[in-house]
Amino acid sequence: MLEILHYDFMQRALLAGLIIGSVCAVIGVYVVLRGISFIGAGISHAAFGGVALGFALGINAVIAAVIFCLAVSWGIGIVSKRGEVREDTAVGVFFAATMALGVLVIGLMKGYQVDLFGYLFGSILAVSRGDLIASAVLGAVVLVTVALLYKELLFISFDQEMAEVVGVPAERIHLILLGLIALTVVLSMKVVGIILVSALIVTPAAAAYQLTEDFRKMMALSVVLGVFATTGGLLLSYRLNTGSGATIVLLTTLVFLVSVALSPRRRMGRGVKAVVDPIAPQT
Amino acid sequence: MADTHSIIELHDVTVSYPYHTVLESVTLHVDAGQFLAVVGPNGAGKTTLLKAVLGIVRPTRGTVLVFGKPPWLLGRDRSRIGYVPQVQTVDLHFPVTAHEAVMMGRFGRIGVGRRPAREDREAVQRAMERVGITNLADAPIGRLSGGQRQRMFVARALANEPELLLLDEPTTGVDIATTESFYELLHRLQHEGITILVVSHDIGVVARYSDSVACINQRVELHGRPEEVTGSVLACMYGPQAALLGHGAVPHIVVGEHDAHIESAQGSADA
Repeated sequence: MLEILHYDFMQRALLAGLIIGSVCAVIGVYVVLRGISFIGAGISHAAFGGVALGFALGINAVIAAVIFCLAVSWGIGIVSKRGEVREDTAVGVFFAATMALGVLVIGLMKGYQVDLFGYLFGSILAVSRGDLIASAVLGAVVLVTVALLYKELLFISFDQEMAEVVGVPAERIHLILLGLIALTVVLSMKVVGIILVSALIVTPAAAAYQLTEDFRKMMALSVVLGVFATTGGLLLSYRLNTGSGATIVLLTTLVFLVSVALSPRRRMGRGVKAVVDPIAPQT
Repeated sequence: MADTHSIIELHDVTVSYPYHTVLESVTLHVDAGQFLAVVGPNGAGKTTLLKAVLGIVRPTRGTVLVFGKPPWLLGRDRSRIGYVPQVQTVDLHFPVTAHEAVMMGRFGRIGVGRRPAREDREAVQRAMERVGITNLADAPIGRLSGGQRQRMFVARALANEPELLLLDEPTTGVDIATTESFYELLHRLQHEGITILVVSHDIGVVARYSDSVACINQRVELHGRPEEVTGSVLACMYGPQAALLGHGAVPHIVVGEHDAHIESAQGSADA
C-alpha cells in the first residue's frame, strides 16, 4: 500500500488533499453555522464559467476562476443586500447562468479539448506542481484571513444583525466570507471537482456540528474529518480506480451519517424554532 | 421636562418601502430613566421602530435623535445603546457558551484583529452578575432554558454598560412565571439608571412594570401612563372593529379571544 507514496503525482495529490481538507473544513464551519450552504454550491458552480473563460481568453485557469468566483460571490452578496432579490434567489439565478456560460464558451472553442471531466469531478492525476503551489498560497490566504477575523466571523455567523448593532462591520465581513468561499472552491477544484467541492465544504463541518457544542472543538473536529476524507478518499480512489472527487465526497458523507447516528439527542430540536427548551435543566 | 432630557426623540418619523408604509408620522420621546413599553398588533411597525432608533433603518421622513444625534452618526456612542433582538432569529444550538455569547457584545469595541482584554472579561462578568447567570458561564447556549437564554441576551446587551436598553419581544415563548421574573429584572435595571424601551404584544405584563405605554399601529395611537391607556389599548391592538366595541359600553369583552372577538365586534356593530 505504502509504495504508492513513491509516485510523485500521489505525493502531490495527498499534499493537496491535506490543504484542501483543512481549508474546506475551516470555511465549512462558518458556512454551516451561518446557514449559507446553498451559496457555497452556487459559488462553486461559478468556477466552471471562470475556468472556461480562462481557456477561451488564454488566461491561467486558476487565476480566471479566482476572479470569476470572487465577482460572482460578491455579485450575489451585493444584489441580495439591496433587498430587491432574496439571497437564495440570487444564488439560484447565478448558479445556472455561470454554468451555462461555461458550457457555451467551451462549445464555441471548436477543436479545443479540455479535461472538463477532471475540472467537474476532480482527478487524482491532475495536480501539477503549479496547482499544488496555487492551492498552498490560496489556502494560506484563507487561513490567515480567518485567523485575523476570527471573532467577527464567529459573531456574524451567530447573529449578523447584532454584530452590526455593536459596531462590527458585518456587511463587509460577510462579503469577505463569500470571497473566502470562492478561494476555497478554486483551490479545491482540481482534486475534488467543481460540482463536488461544495459537499466537501459543508459535510465535515456538518458532521462536527453533530458532535460538539464547543466552537473550537467543532473547528478542530471538522479539520480532522475533512483531512481524513480527502486523504482517505484519495488512497481509496487509487485502490479502487474511482474518481477522486466522488470517492472523497462519499467518504465524507459516510462520516456525516455516522456522526448523526452518534450525535447526542439534543440536536433533535434544531430547525424547529424551540418555544420551550425541553432538555435544559432549570436552575 | 425641567430636570430630565430625552434620550430618544422621534419627530414625525415615517418609514416606507416601495409598496407599503410601516411607520407614519410617529412622534415619541423617551426620557432618561424612563421605562416605555411599545405595544401594538403584529406588523404594526414595532420592530421597525426599534431599528430606526438603532439606526439600522433610516426614516423616509422626519427625524430620529438618540442621545441628541441621528443614531447612524453615533459612532462610538453607539455602545451606549444595548439591544436585545427577537430570539427567534438565531440558531439556539450554536456552539458557543453563555460567556462567549455575552462577550460578543464587546466585539465592536474590541476591534478587528484584537483579542478580548481583562477589562472586557470583567465587563462580561459584571453583565452576567447583573442578570444573575454567572453560574451558567460555561454552559453551551443550547442547554439554557428560555428564561436563562433571555437573560443571557440581556447580559450581552449590558456588556457595553449601556445607558439605554432596547428589547424586542423579549418574552415570546417563555412561561408566565419566567416572564414575570424577567420583567422584575428589567425593573431592577431601570432602578440602576438604565432607560428601557421594550416592544411587546403582552400588554398585561408591560402595563404593570412600565411607566408609560405607547400603542403603535403604523401611527402612535395612544401614549400615556399604563393606567390611563390600558382600556383603549385593546382597541389599538385589535383593529377598528375592536375599536368600535371598545368605545361602546363593554370594552373588556374582547380580552382573551383574539380571533373570535372581531366577528363578535362586527356582530354587535350590525345589531
